[in-house]
Amino acid sequence: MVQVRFYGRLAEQIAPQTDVAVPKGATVGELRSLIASRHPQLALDLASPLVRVCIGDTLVADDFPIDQREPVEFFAPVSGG
Amino acid sequence: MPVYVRLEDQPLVPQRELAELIAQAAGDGAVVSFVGLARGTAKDGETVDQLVLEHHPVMTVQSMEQIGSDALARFGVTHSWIVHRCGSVDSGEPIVFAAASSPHRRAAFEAADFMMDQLKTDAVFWKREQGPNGSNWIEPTEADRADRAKWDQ
Repeated sequence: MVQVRFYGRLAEQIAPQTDVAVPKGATVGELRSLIASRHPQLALDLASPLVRVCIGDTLVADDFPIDQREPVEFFAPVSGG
Repeated sequence: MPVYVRLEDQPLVPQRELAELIAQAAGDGAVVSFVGLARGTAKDGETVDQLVLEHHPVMTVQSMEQIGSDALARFGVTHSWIVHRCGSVDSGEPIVFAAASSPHRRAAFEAADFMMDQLKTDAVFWKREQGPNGSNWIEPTEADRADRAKWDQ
C-alpha cells in the first residue's frame, strides 16, 4: 500500500488522500494508470504532463520507482498570480 | 537579501512591500513592481466574491524561490521580491506582489514580467473562484502558457 495525496481540483474529484495497493517496484507512471482505471472520467487528466507528481518534496518523472513508505502526491495543474 | 519570497496568509499591503524593497535597493537606479488583484468577475461574467488559493506545505514556497532566483540569474537584477497570498482573498484585494530592482530600468521591467509569467504556470497554487453560484477551479490558459513559453525561445 502507498499513501496517495491529491491537491487542487483532484482532491475534490477523487479524495484528499487514499491508499492504493501497488505491486513492488511499480513506477509513478504505473500508479497513474492504476488510479485512472478507478476513475476513468479522469483518465486524460491523470495521463497529462500538466498533472505533476511529487515525492519527498521533489517533482518526479513517470519512470520514478515508488517506495511504499513514502506518500505520493498528485498535483492538479498549478496556477499562481 | 537579493531574493525575497513570502507566502502571506493575511491581507497583502503592496505599498509596504514596495517601501521595503526601495529601502533595500539603495545604489540601484530602478524598481519595477506589479500587483495582481482578485477580479470581481469570472471569464463567463459570473460574480466572484472570493478567490481561494490552496498551497502545498513545502513546494509552494520552493517554487516561488525558484522563480525569484531565476529572475535574478537571468536579468542580473539586484533584488527580486515576491509576496503571494494564500487562503481566501476578497475580490478587489491584492493576490500577488512581484518586483525587482536593478541599476537600470530595462532589467527590472523584464524581471517583473518574467516572474509574473512564471508564477501563472509554475507557482504551486490551486485557485478557485467562489461566487453566489458555487466555486470554479482556475487553471492556466493557453495565453498563460504562451506567455510562459516565450521566455524559453
